[in-house]
Amino acid sequence: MLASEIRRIIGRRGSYWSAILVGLAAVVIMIIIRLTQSGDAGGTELLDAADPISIVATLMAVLVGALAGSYDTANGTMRYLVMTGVPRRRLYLTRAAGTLVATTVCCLPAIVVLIVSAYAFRHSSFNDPTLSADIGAAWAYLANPLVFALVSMAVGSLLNSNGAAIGVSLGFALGGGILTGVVHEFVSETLAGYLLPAATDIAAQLDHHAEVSLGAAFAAVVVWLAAFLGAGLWRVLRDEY
Amino acid sequence: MSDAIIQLEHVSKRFGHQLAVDDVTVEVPRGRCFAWLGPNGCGKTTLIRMMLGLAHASAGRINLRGFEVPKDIQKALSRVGGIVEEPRFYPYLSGQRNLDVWAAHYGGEARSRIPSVLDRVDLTERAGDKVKTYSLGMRQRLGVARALLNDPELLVLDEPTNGLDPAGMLEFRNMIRNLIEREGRTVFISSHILDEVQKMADDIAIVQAGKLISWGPVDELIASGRHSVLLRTDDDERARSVLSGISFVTGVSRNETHKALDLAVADIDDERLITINRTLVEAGVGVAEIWRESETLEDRFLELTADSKPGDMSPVQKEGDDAGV
Repeated sequence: MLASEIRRIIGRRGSYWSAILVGLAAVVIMIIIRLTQSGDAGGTELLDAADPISIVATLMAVLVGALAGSYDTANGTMRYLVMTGVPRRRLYLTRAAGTLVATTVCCLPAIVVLIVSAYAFRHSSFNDPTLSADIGAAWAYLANPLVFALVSMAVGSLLNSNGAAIGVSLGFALGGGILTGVVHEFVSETLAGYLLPAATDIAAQLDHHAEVSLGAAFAAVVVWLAAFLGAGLWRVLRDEY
Repeated sequence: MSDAIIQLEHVSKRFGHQLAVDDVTVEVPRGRCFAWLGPNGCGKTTLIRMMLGLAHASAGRINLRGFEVPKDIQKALSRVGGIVEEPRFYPYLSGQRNLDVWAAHYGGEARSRIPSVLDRVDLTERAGDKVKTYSLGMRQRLGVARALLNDPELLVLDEPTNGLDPAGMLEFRNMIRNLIEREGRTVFISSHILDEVQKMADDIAIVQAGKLISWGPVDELIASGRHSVLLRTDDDERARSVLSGISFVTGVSRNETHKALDLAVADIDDERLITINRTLVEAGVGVAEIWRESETLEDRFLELTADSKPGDMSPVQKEGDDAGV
C-alpha cells in the first residue's frame, strides 16, 4: 500500500518534478552565487546554508503534501479506496507515510548536490566537511520540508479541495513565519519559539542556544504535527464519500 | 437464516430536513441481478453509499454478506466490488497502474487477477495507456475490472450504463448476465432507465422520493399491475353497457390512439378474453378486433409512481413489505 501511495504522489509528474527541479535549482544557484561572489566559500560553509535554502524545498513540499492530502477526495478516488475495506485510519496513515517518503526523495537530489559541493569546493578558511556535518546538513535541509509537507497533507485532508489546500498550506508556511516573527518581536521570544516555524527551525539546526531548549522545540513540533494530523484524520474518519 | 446477500431494515438517511432514503426494508437474494429503479434524485446513490460504508445511515440496519455495516465493514467489503456514480481513476496513471493501486489495497491474489480482469473487459491492449486518454465507455469497463479485482460475491453498480452507446449497453448487459449465470455472482444495480433494467434484472425495487414503493421478481411485478384489453366494436355505447355487467371488468374508457375501447381488468387470461368476446356477441355487439395490451415495466412503473405519494401508500403498493423474495 505504501508503495502504491508513493507511486500515486510521484505519478503527479507536473507537481512532483517541479518540486524536485525547483529545490535543486535553488541549491545550485545558491552554490554558484557563494562561490562566485564571496570567492572563499566552501566546505562546511556551504553545508551551513542547508537550512536557509531549504525554504524553497519547503514551499515545494507544501505543494506535494497538499495535493497528497486533497487529491483523492477532490478527484473522487477516495470512495474507491474506502470501498476496498481498508480502514480509513490506515489509508490516512499510509498517506502520511507516503508523503514523508515522497518529500524525502524529492529533497535528495538537492542534498546530494549540496554535500558533493561541500567536498568539491573545500577552502582553507573553513572546516572540511565530515560525516556528522553531512548528516546535520541533510537534516537541516529536510526538517522544514518534512514538517510542512505533513502539515499540508493534513490541511489537504481537511479541506478536500486541491486549490484551497495549496493556498491555505502556503499561507501556513509563509504566514506562519511572519506571525512567528511578529510574536517574537512584540509578544514573547519564548512563546515564538514554541510556534511551529520557529520550533522547526530550532529542531532543524539542532540549536542548543535558542530561546527554548532543543527538547522543547522537538516536543512543540510533535504537538503541532499531532494537532494538524489529528484534524485531518478526524475529517477522513467522518467524511461521507 | 436468510439467504439474502443484502438485508436492509428500516434504513433511512436524512440530510438536514431532507429525507433522502425513507425507511427502506428489503432483501436482495443471492445469484441474481437486483435493480433499484427510480427517477433521478430519489436516493438511489445515497442508499448505495450507505451500503458500501461511504455514508452513515441515519437509522436502520444494513447487512452485507452476513456482516453488519458499518460495524464489520472490512469483512463485508472483502468480496464486494462496485462503481458509485462514475468510475474515477488517477488520470495520470495507466489503466494497469491504476489497477495496481487498488490491487495493493485489496491484497491477497488481487494483483494476479489484473491480466484476467483486463482481458475480460477487453482493455488488455490499452492497459498501458494513461486513463486520461480513455473514453467514458473504456473508463466504465475499467471500473468493472477494478470491481472484479477482489473476486466479489456482490457487485454494486450505480447507473452502470450511463453514457454508453447502444452497442456498449448490449455488451455491458451481456457481461452482467455472464457474471450472474456463469459465475454465480450477485449484481445490484441502480438505474432510471426502465428498458435497460427490464432486460437486465431478475428482481426490481421501485423507489420514489427515497421510499420503496414495490419490489419483487420482474415478471411478477409487471403482472401484478392493472391490465388492459382493447376492442373495436360496431356499437361502442351498447358495448359499454354490456361490459358493465362483467364482474372482472373494472372500468371502460376510450383509447384514442388505437380508436378502441380500453377495458381495465384486474387480471387477464384467454378464458376472460373469450368471455368478453362471447358476452358482447351474444348481446348483438359486433366485435371487429380484441387484443390484450402487453404490459411493460414502464407501464407498471408509471402506474406505481403516479399513484404513490411518499407516506401515503396503500397496502397494495406496499406489497414488497409482505411479499419477500
